[in-house]
Amino acid sequence: MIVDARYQGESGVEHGLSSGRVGLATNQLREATYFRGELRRPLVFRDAMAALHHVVISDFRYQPKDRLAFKAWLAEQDRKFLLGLKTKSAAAKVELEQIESRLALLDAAREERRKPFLAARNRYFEWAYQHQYELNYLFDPVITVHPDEVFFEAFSRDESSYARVGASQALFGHIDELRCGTTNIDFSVALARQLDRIRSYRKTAFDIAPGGLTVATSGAGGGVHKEKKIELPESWVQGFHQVQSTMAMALTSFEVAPVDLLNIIRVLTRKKTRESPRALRWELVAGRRIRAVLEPWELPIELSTKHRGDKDVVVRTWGRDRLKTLARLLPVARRVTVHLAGLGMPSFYQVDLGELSFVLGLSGWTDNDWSGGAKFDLLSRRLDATAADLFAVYSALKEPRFASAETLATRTGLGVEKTRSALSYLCQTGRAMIDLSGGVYRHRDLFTDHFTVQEAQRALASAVEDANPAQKAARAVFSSDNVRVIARRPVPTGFKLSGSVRGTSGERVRPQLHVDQEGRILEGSCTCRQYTSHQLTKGPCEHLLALRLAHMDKLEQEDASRRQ
Amino acid sequence: MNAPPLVRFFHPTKAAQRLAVVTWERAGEQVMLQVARGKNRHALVDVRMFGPLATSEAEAAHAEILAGLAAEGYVAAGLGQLLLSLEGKSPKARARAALRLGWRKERAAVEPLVRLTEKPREDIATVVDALGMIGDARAQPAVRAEAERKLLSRRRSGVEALKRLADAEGLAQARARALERLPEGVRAALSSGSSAAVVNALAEVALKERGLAIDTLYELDEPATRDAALRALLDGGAVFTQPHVWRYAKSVWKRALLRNDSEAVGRLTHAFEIASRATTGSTETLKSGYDGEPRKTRVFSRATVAYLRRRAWRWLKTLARHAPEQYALAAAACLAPYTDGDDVLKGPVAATGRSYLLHRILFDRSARYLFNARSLSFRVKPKAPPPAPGTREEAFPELWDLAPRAYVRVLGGARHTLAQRFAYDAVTRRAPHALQAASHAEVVALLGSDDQRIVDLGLLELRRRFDPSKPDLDLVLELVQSHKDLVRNYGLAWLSESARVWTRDHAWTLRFLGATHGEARDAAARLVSAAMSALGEAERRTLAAALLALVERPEADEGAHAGYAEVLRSALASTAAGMCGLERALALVNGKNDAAVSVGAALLANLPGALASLGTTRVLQLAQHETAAVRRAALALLDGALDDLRAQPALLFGLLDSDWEDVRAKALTLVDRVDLAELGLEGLVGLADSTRPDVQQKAQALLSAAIARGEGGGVDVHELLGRLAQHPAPLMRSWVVDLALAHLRAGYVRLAKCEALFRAVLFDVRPDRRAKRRVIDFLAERGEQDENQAELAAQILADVARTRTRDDHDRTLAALARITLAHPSASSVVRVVGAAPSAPSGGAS
Repeated sequence: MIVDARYQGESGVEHGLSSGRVGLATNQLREATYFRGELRRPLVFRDAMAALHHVVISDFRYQPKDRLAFKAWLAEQDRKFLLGLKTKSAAAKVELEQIESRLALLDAAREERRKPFLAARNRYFEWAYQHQYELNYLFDPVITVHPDEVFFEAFSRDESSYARVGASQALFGHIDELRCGTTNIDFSVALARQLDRIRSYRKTAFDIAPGGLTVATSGAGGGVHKEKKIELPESWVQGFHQVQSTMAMALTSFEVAPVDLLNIIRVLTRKKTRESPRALRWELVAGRRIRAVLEPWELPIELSTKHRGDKDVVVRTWGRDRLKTLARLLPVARRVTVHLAGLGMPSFYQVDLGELSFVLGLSGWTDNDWSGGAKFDLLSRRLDATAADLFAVYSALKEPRFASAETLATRTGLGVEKTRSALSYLCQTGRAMIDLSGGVYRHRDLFTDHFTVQEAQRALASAVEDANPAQKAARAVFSSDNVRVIARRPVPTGFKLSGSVRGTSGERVRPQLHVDQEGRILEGSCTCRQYTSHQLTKGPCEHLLALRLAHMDKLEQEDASRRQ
Repeated sequence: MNAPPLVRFFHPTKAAQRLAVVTWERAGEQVMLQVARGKNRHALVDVRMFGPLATSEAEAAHAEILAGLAAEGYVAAGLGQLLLSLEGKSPKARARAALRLGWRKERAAVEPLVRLTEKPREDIATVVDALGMIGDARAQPAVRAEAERKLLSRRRSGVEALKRLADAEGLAQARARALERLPEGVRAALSSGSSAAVVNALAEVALKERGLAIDTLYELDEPATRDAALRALLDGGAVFTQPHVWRYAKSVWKRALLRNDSEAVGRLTHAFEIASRATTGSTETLKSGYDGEPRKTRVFSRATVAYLRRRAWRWLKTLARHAPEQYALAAAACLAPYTDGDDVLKGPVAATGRSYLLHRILFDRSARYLFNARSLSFRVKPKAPPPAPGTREEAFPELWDLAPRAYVRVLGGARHTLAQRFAYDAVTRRAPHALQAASHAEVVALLGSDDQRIVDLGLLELRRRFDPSKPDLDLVLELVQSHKDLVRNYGLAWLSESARVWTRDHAWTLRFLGATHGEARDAAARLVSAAMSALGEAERRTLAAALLALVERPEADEGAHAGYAEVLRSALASTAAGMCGLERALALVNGKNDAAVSVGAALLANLPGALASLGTTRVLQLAQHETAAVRRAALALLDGALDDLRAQPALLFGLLDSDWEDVRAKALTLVDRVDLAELGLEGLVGLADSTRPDVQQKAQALLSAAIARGEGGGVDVHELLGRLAQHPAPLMRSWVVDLALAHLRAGYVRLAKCEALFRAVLFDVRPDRRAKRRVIDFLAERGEQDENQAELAAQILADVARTRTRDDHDRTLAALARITLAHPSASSVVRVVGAAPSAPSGGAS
């Protein structure tokens, strides 16, 4: 997907002796969105933006070594060896050796002579690569202005990390004007460096406007126009949607102190290993201090907080190096809340910075981008919704910009469950998002086109639920009466179920499920092949989904009998 | 006078006297002419003798006899039979006759051939080919009609015939149609004129459509399109074996035959031959070109490839017969693609095995080989004796001797040992003059050979040709532009040796400065610059004007103007600056290519009064230009703007924060010359706030000096500390820690101002251990001083107390214990249960 962005000016930071201004240029091809205010705590903002930039440019995928030079050297050695074999005469051998040694000297001299040139060329390549990368691949962060908050969202270069910086109104000394909406901001390495010059002893104005810092930077030549054509992978968009799905899941959450995170990151910085496993294992034992264990050294780090739940939980997460992107925030962080979805599943680190919040979402592992085959949306339960329902919820959310599901349900008269389902669809089409820190839904149009009834219909038609083979198969299994609920026990958190399901392959398996009152899957296990191989990292299998359908069917029957 | 050859005539209608033979016989000093007629050559019954005649009379009589026979309706023998064959029923016979007429360029056959095109026949494409070969304008309407056909075989013959007929209008129409057929991307790439761009565009085209695009490119017959078509077919795997490409690969090959494009024929035939060893092709369902119906079709079948291989040799033989002067050069081109890897050389006896065309060319007259017609391979006869010395085994040896340059072509182009040996022997033994007669390019090609003997031969010939006092500058230019290092290095050496000659000639100077190879341009620029001092002012001005005019033009290729620019910059900058004003220099700075921009920069630096005209602000903008030469020029101008900078030192901040190292380095030297104390604390902190380590170091030096001067230094250390405590750079942080520990006065407020600094040090994932320990001890010390400071210090230390670094942990606990002991009311995470602790570890829990 090619996404166009046009900026009238460039983002930048102006530094005067007593005042400064952060000017973020907005994409002119999107709805007019602006904000003008003054930062009250500029240093926190600076560090949060630095962390966001770190996430945006981070790429923790495995980078194989460039072995071209080594291979060329090896080939040269082979050639010399064969030449030596061919040369029979001793005199010729001596002459050859002399020539080789002379050649080696000349080569060394040439290398020495070319050093400055090669260094300059490398610098140029780096510059050109970065410049071209920014123009063609670096998708600028999405910024959304809401009445209570301005927030930035972005993905890392490897698409495995999601970051959200939310700045509440309290961050601003005063707000001169604002217009709610969502747009992109011109974001570059140069801007990140300029942001580092923000200081609290200078009054720092914060402007989100089409022109960015044009007035300050343009010389006699007039305004600066910048156009980007980003090759935005479909996975990037899918990633945004999957983040929302994961946030909607029932997550295991606990707080850690910044120094705990510092301890983990410091070990990761100092110790390297090539051995597997390289997971970060969270051990939550009821009533005891939480432990983070670093594999393969089995190095335990005892955290400051205790596990308050009544059940022991052990969750392994991979791609722990990505936590280094939070290093900049540690001195200013007040607390960090960790949200875990399960073994090898995404995790969220919510850093409380006072007036700012920073959320780092990490996919199951580094090579698995957020869309990488995982269908976490299937873990949440959705009722059927119509295009009119979606449109009604969208309209009800757009006006206040943020609201809880209950408030929206009241406003639309659809009921909480249906509203949640509609919100789930909206989140997955990029029209809304879940605010993990505020516990509310927020309006956010990811792309430029307006939401229409037609798009709502398309969203429903192409919703993952229908498109996903597992869900389709689950419906088929349920309709053909191949699901038997063996046990169904109400627990404080919802229901625990066990059943017997004959899947589409004809094999009978035993799924076990723990769902909350709203039907979201909290835990699950199955004897099928998919679960054995991937557990829930690729989403639930058809058997778990079919068992949930049977459970929901029973719930509806019970509701109906109660109403009678 | 030599006797004219025997002449045979044929009469199409007189059955009894179908054949007439005219002979010329000498009888002493006189000549007898004889005209014999009959049914065939064995029954020449009607014989008439003329003479005896004197030689001069005999010539006239001979011509008269020939004219008389023509008047009777006789035509040259063979032609008539061929014309008769055209009217036969067999399409094969008609096609064969048409082709022969074409090769013979028989204009008498044009009308009958054109008549053949009027009805749809199987052999029509061959007839059109023949018309093209004859090249008579009368065929134009018929050929144009064929060129408009949709069917590939007929369209191909039509267009190729149009080229031979030199029909400009027909060709223009054909070109327009060809361009329409090309995919849009390829069409767009054509405008670049670069075959690489076209090949890249072709790679983007789906395989299903790529074949037609390749054939169309070859049809366009421009150097870039021809090259691109061949590269697309031959580079990067045998793409021609693919179902939708094969028919078009054959089409390109047939076009090459029609054009006598021997290089293309050789490369394609060789590629087909090699690919056929790895695959026998496939059977695919493809749409027929005749009726559009999908049919199962063999693709790259062994039989077809064998036909093409045989046909290529037949084409060479036909060339030998009808265009003997072309044979050797064409054969040389066909030998070029073969390498030793294509075949196995067994023992001392040369064996070429499966390389059919190569074997035919090199060993067709040899009696040592047995030919297997089914596999088109050769093997050595059992017990066959080696050839006697001097035996010539190649086909058509007399034709090789007729065009000895062909040997040189083989030497320069061939990579097969047998081909190289054949040509080397010929050049060293039979045709030593061949090298002398060869062109520079042909000799230069020898230097690229993998056979050292051939390289030496080439070098010897080049040395013979070069005379430094009277250099052949065309040769030098050819050498310096070569992409082969060895050749170019010779060229560069001779360029230098002959510099005295060509640097005095402006035309040659410009040619060498505009050479297509970068090294040649650089070397020429160096030599021209060195020679400039010997030129008079008028000559310098003339050259500068010419070079400026060239630099102002758009570059054909990137870097093409680099040589001109180098001379202008290094040797003629002041002369050129005197000839153009500020406007022209700025226009060059804003130019589209690097050469123009760098020349513009050099002119700016040499323009008197440039700084005054531009103003300091504009020069500062130019100092951030992305081209180093412009920055250099602008920075040089800034030396004259010291007064402005002294008045407004803040102007320097932009330069100090520049992305460019050279700009920052210059700005730092300017900082020394401009008194930043003018800005006081604000100025120095502004400098220190930089994100660049080099500037930060400078700021540290300036700040240290100011602090060392004491109160008079104009810097309030505590205000400074409060500000620098917010600096996020690790380099500054450790310096500021030292400053804080040395100068921070007592009191809660001052300590609180540095809280961010202390936290940054303690929470650093890559800590400066010394700074960290000092901070912990410092906080303990300040915590002991009063309750407010104790509260703050305890809070900071408590946040970091759970660090896993054992030493820090112990030290922090000890610090907290000290604070708690001093001020028990301060909130602390430690509880002291024993006596007073002894640092760093104590009895705290």
